[in-house]
Amino acid sequence: MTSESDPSGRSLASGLASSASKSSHWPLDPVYRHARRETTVIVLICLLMMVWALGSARLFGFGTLDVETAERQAILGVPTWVFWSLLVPWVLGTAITGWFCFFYLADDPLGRERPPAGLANDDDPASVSKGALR
Amino acid sequence: MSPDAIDLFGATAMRSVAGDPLGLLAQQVYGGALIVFALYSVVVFAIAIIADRVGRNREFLGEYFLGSRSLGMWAFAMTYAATSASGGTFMGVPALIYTHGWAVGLWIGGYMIVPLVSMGLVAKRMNQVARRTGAITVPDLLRDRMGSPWFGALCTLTIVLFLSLNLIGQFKAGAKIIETLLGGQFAYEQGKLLVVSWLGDGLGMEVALREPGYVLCLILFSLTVIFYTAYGGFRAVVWTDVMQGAIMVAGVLIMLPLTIWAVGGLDAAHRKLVRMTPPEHRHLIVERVDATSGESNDTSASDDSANGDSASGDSASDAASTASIPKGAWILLVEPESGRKRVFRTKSRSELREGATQVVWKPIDPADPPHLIPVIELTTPDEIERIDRQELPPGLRVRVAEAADYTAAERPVPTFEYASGAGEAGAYVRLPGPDPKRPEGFLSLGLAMSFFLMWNFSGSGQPSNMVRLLAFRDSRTLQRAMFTMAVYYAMIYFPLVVIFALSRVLLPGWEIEPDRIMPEMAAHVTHLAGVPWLAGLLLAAPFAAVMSTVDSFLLVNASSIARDLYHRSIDPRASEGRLKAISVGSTVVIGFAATWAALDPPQFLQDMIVYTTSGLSTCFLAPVFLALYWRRFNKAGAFGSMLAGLTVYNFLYGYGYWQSGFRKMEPLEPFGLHPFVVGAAASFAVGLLLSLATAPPADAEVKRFFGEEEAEDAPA
Repeated sequence: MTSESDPSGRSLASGLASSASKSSHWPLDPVYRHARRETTVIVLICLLMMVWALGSARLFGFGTLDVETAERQAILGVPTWVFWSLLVPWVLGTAITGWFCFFYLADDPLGRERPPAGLANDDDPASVSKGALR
Repeated sequence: MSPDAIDLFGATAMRSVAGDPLGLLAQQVYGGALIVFALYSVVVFAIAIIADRVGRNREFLGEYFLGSRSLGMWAFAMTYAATSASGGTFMGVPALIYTHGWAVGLWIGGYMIVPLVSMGLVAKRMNQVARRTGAITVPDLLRDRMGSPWFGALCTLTIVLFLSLNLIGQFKAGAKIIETLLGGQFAYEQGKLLVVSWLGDGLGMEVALREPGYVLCLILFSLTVIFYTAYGGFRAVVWTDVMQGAIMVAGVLIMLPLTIWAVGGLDAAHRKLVRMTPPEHRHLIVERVDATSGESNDTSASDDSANGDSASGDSASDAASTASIPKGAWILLVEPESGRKRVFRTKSRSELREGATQVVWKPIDPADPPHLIPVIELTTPDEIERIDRQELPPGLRVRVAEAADYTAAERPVPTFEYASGAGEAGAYVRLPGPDPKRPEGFLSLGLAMSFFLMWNFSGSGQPSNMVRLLAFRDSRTLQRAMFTMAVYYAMIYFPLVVIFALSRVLLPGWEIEPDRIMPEMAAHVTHLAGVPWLAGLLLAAPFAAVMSTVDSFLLVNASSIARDLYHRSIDPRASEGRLKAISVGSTVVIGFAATWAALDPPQFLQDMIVYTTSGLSTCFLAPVFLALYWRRFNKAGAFGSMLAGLTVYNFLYGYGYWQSGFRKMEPLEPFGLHPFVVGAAASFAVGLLLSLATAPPADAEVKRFFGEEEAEDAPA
């Protein structure tokens, strides 16, 4: 994981962030830091799921078989590769999403609502759209 | 009929209906669909009116286009899920599964993690940054983040161009789905007559005379969706999405057990599927014989057509004058010498003209040779044995076209077999799956990877999805909605794969028109279970899916014009009344323009929908992702990133189109990778390189989006 409180810009694509923020002395927004970490984990989970699904499909699903063997290769009435490459990871993927949502995704405050741009400078509030979103 | 014979047309209750090209759906099914459609329309209108009432007294633009950023868990999850699931989910995907078997499960396997990736990737940051700038639309947000009105304009232009094309296709798809569902109903037939007299004869609209059913359904579809979207805005769209999402999941969850029961359990179905082999594409020559001469007949024609079981209401029993063979008719042929039984199904309608000695097929596709009736031939022994009836007017002799017949017609002898999987038992349960055209099969491992990535990441880059990420209430809503959507998708997509992988066990021969497998299965399984009225609810799923997508696209397009173009660029001080008129007006105008264009739509409609949907994701994914997560990302990088995506994606499509001699909209796929993957990779690369090669953004700007909120700005 990247240095979370480092405002110098070494982030997701480590090393790419540079001069813009190197000289800055302001603290990074915690929601940004959390979101960045969470996004990295999401991408990793996605890649792992893909490796599992495609890897097991490669292992169990490709190639021709004689009828008897193909008939035997079934779990719970679906082809073996469907069981390992779709059913199991689908259940697992849903469970991982549950874990991510309730145990990993930080419950961050998302900030105060600003009025839509284009409305803020109106000098005749009565004649324009009503201020901020709720 | 043998005890195990396939009930081809759902027995007598499924007797054909005049006007239905295939004549397969029962009146009861149509009746159910009509009642459901009527109820459905009443409910969406009511929702629009209530949504409008609730939204009054709130800031108009934010309410109309974003529901005042107040979406709760259910609304957020369901609107996101329903918008993503389009008509293709319930018509196109089932057709693919039917054609290629279980392999399609891996093709859409990426959906196992789509809720987490497509929602989670940018949701929290996007919502946060939108609050900081007060953004209502995606171009709004990008324009402020990159500090460039011109970049905002590029975003708006890209959205309007892609979505306008997309809407034409979606409107046509919606109308076609309603036509499939309602065709044959009394009210529908009366409506057609009105269209002919008012629009055709009255206003001189040629298309109303040619295809009154389609025009009627297009008008029904358009009026419904335009009214509730324009009147109720985002809130109405979201609430109807919740209802539509519920209809979709109900349809799938009812259909799954009915299907498993109908096939006799998963194990029994697997044993049958393993033995299935892909059909062959052939042509038949049908000739008239003199019935009184007693000349031998090549066919094993029974008298099914005479006893009323014919699939076509207008199949004449009197072959001496005019007869027709409908699309979808089964033809049996027993070879006299070997006794071999062959079963064919017609791919299009053909007619015997007065005085002709040969059945003259009216070609739909000019590429097919005249006088040769295109059919598929079943190759699975079990299916051949089970089909024991023929719908062919008596007095006709059938033979299979041979090489000499093609030569006589001055056509090359076509390939009869599937390019992959032909004669291969187990083809439908194994990978890569049978394919009529691709010798390498339906799904290589590389292609599977490409699609896995595309389903996941293209959802994140879709403006109609992203605008929903601007609208949820807080992080807790995001947590719950993401998990809800994961459960919801698991309940929709995997069962869909199961249902339609099994569908070919119940309904063979639908390679003639695989797009109809969803309505046919709905009719078939509900009939077998003795609840044909339930088919109406199942058939509502596809039109709920297409409507929930169209309403969102319509509103995103209208917001581009009303908010991004007019309000931000032309008249920032516009009064609320004017903004309201322009917002509602642009929704209505865009809706009717799409309807008008859909009356005479361009070619390659389905391809156009795919092209525009993934095109938008290709253009937006990298700029949005980099804008939210990379502090060094600057204006030059943003322009470069979007233009690179746009250029590479269009090049791949343009090159493929040119390569096909402008006949097919099939993109070039370098290394088997989908254009989205290539385009998005180019977009990321150019965005990164151009940003690094140019001056970094001002520190104050970076701080505005990446720094902590000032104390006085902290949330109350």
